[in-house]
Parts: sequence; structure tokens; C-alpha cells
Amino acid sequence: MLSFSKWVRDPLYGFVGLTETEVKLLDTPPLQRLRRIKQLANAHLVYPSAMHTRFEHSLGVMHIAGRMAEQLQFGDDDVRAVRYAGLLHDVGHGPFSHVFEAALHDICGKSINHEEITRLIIQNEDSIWDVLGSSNDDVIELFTENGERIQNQVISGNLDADKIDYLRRDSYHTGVVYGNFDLERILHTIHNKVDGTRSYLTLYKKGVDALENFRLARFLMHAQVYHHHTRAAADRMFQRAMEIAIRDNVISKEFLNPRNPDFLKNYLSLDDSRMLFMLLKNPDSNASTLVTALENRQLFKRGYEIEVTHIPDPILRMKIAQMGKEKYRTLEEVLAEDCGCEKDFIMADIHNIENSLYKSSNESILSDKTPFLIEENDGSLHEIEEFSTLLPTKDPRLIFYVFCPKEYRAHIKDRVEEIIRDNI
Amino acid sequence: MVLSPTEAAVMVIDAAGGRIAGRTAIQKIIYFGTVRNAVKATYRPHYYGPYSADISGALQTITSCHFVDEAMDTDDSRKVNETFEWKRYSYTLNDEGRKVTEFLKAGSPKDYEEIKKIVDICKKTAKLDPNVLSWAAKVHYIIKQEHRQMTYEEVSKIAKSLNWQLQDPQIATGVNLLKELSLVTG
Repeated sequence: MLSFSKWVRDPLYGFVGLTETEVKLLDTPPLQRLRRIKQLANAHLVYPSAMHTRFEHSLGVMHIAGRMAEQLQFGDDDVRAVRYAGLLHDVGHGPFSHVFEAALHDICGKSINHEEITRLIIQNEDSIWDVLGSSNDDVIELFTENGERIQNQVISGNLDADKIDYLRRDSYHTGVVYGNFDLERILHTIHNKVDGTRSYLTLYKKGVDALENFRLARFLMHAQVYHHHTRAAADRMFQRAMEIAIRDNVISKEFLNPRNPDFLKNYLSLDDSRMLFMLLKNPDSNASTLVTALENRQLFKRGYEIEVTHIPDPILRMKIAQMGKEKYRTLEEVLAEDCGCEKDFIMADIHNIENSLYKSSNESILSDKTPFLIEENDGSLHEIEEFSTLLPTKDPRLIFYVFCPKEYRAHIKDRVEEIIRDNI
Repeated sequence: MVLSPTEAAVMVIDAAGGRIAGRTAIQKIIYFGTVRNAVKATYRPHYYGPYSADISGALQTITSCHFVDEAMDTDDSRKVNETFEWKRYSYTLNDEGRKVTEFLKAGSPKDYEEIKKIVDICKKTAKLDPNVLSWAAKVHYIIKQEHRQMTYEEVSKIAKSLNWQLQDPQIATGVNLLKELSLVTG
């Protein structure tokens, strides 16, 4: 049984309790930095009250991980570990959350995500080491999805504390009600099913409807909030500003190079405001123009938008569906020349709005994900597909955009398809 | 030119006669295509052998773009016997898919020729059986990693470390297919 030394107010849970060690963790600079990173990056340009941060989400994940652990009857050490992991799980997020990750990927030329950086920070940051000591390895271990270890599934699974918190929290702060679901029912029906040395996170059959509610909530939040077209335009503008800043040497590539010995120090010095400040450093660079436009909500518009799977011509459909980064760049450059727009200001992008929680159990296992397991009263396990009456169409929403300044919209709209046919 | 995963996926189905059963079969055929530098895709070890998220995404793309008709056949006997893919997806090129494939073939005839060659060998030697294709891909993956001549015993030992079960007869069958594909010698 944990003993809480502090309680903090939370709009979703009333009060969140913290142990002494958790308070110490919370007071470390890497965690305090999360107060300065908005949970939903540019979504506040669509939903003005979406100003909540990674900090309060981390507190929420810790709280939910603790409640799940209690229901699953973990021992004290495991309860502590999952709560620490919940608190620390997002410590590796960069400014503007996932948007920065994409930009960093472009800069490094290799895939590096916030989970990897989270591990690096927990391993190497003195302030965290001073609190956790060598038990930091137990925490890091929980960030790997492992279908045979229930502690991992609480932190990194289909029904993990992260998703349980962010859907309801983002829903609360955006005012979009779709992210809400029956939290108490889910917490009441999860179960620790032990089979030999393995333990599975299952849900009793009476929780199936709450699980359906949760899956649908996730899909609708993706459709309504996370992939909203205005947010997509804003995020793309930020990402382009980052690319330009590196190209124009406004920000040194070396500063963000993971091989740089000072990488973690540099990374942890960044938050949303400091990042924007850096991008504004050279007023002659288009990075500064884009950030100024973002700050004043002078957002680029959809010059072209199409749901890819609905394109009548199969050849064009194929070309757009498989266009990668290099081909986007070609398209942007040809379009810019065609309409006389600055080439930095034309941005092609594709959004795949699928809900991975609707993947079949077979597909989940193939992609190293844990399927939802439903437990009958007799203890037998079944896949969710056997009970679900809400199986969606197989087609994800695949939306292709070309964003541009509003004066070029008509021209872009007229020319995109022809240019793709001839040049891509 | 090197084929993208999406291009390779429709070409493999076309080369197999317009229909192919089993995602594993497609995954492994394209694996051989990447080894022969005809396709650009990244593979990593998985329960069924080398697996590519790129190819998995390409199959989703060609299905949702309506180039193929996807059907699932569930075989409980396969489940009881614990052979893999007891739920097997089959992919059939439809009219639009054929149109797209013809367009791609015209643009990359040499790449298509290479894919066709691989599919024909897999058909002739292994009847496109996902088990055989998977054994061959596992053996190749191990040999490529080790970069040396290996005995069956050594292959089997390394397979275990990757959570793969490979018995001598399976290795022999796999090696036979790899020889036909000119991916191993001796």
C-alpha cells in the first residue's frame, strides 16, 4: 500500500496522490519542462482551450497506472514501477510533441522517436538517477510492449494508462466530447489472467461495451482532433519551418544530432516557446515568416484535398497513395514554379486516419501489438472480434492535402492532378 | 529503378496469376525481391520469419485503394494443429488492380521480369507454400546475418535465438529453394 505525501487537483480525477519519491521525480527539471510543452501542439489554433500540457497528462497517466495496478492486484514494487513509468513516459517529448519528432526524423535522416529519447533521459539524467537509482532499469523495461507481461501492458499496450488518460483529457480540453468513455467500467472489468509464467491483461465479458466505447472514442478523436485539417496545416507549417531553419543554418544541425555528446542537454533545453524563439532568430529566413504566420494564425489553406481511396482514376490513386517524401518535394517544386509561389510555402501531406485498435488479433500479433483479450466467466480467453458487433470497414481514411497561401488555392486546385500525372 | 513496396505487392500478385493466398507468402516473396535488389523494403526478424512493416502497409494500401479483393479463409484444423496463418488472407487483383499493374509493368519492365522470375521459382519449387517460403527466408536471413558458410546445426541454433524453430528437413527444404533462387551456393 502506497502512502501519499501530497495531493494535487486534477480536472478529470479530482485529486491525484503522490508519494514522496514521486514528488521528487516531479520536481526534476526534465519533468518540470513538460509544463512548457503543449499536449496537442497546434491544436489550440482550432480548439482554443487545448492548451493543456504533457505535465498534467503525465500526472494523469501515473494516477491511472496506479488504479489499474490496484485492480490487477500488483505487489507494491510493481505498483511503484508502473506509477513511475506513467509519470516519466513522455519525458522524451520535444517541443510541439509529435510534430517535432517528424522534424527531428528529417534532420537526422533516421527514425528517432520520443520513446527512445525518454529511455535515454531516464538512463542518463542525473536528477532522475538521484531519485530512482538503479531501479530506473525496471521503469525503462515497462516501455516495451510485451504481451506476456502484464506490467508492460499497463504502460505500453492497447488498453494502457496513456491512452486511457489522453483520450479523456484531450476531450475535456478541446470540448470535443467523442473522446469520453466509461472509465470506471473499464477499470472495474480488467483482470490479471495468469497462465504459467505469463500474465495477460484481459477484460471480463461484461466490459466489452465499455471497450467498444474506448475503441470508438480513439478513432473519433483521431478524425476530429488529431487529424483536423487546420491542425494538419499548422503542424506542417511548423515542420517546414524546422526544415528551413536547418537548411538556412538558423539552427545548427549538430545541435539536434543524437550523436552529439551534448544532444540530451540541448534537447532538454527546448520547449515550445524556446523553439519558436529559435526559429524566429533570422528574420530573413522563411522559417521566421512561417512561425510569424503561425503565431498570428495566418494559416495556409487547403489548395487541394482528396480522400485517396475515392479517386476515380486508379493510376492517379496509386500514384498519390504511394507518394513518399521525395515525391512530395518534386510535386511542391513543380507546383511552385507553375503558380509562381515561393517553393517553401507549398506543402504536400497525407493523413492516414485509421484506428489501430480495430486491427484483428492476428494483425496485432504480427505487428508486435497485444490484442484485446476477453475473458468469459469460465476463464476461457477470446478475441474481441468474437463479441464485437461494431467491426469497421477495412478502409482507413487516407486524405491527401496540398497546403498553400490562400492566394494560390485556385491555381493549385486546378493543376495538382495534372502535375502528378505528368511528373510523379 | 527499385520497386516500392506497393508496386512490388501488386506485381507479385499479378505474377502469381492474379491471386495469391497468405500474407506470409507475399511477405517472403518480396523478401527475396529485396535480397535481389528489386524492391526497397526493410525487414526484421518476426515469429514467421523476416517481416516487413513496409510490406504490411503496402498490402493495406492496395486493399483500401481497391486494387485487390481481400478474402479471409479461416481453417480451424490449422488452428488446432497450431500451424501458422489459421486465418489466411487471399488477395485477388481486380480490374482496377490489373490496370494499375499493367501501367507499372510498362514503366518498369525489368523489375517486373525479376519479380516474375522469383514468383515462378517459388511456384515451381515450393508451390507458394507459406511454410516453405518462410523456412527459406529464415535460413537466408540467418546466413546473411552471419555472412559465412554454416552447418544445419549452426543455423538451427541461431534460429532458436531468434525464437524460430528450424529442424534439419525444414532447413534442407529452405536451402533447396534458396539454391533455385540463386541466393545460396554449395
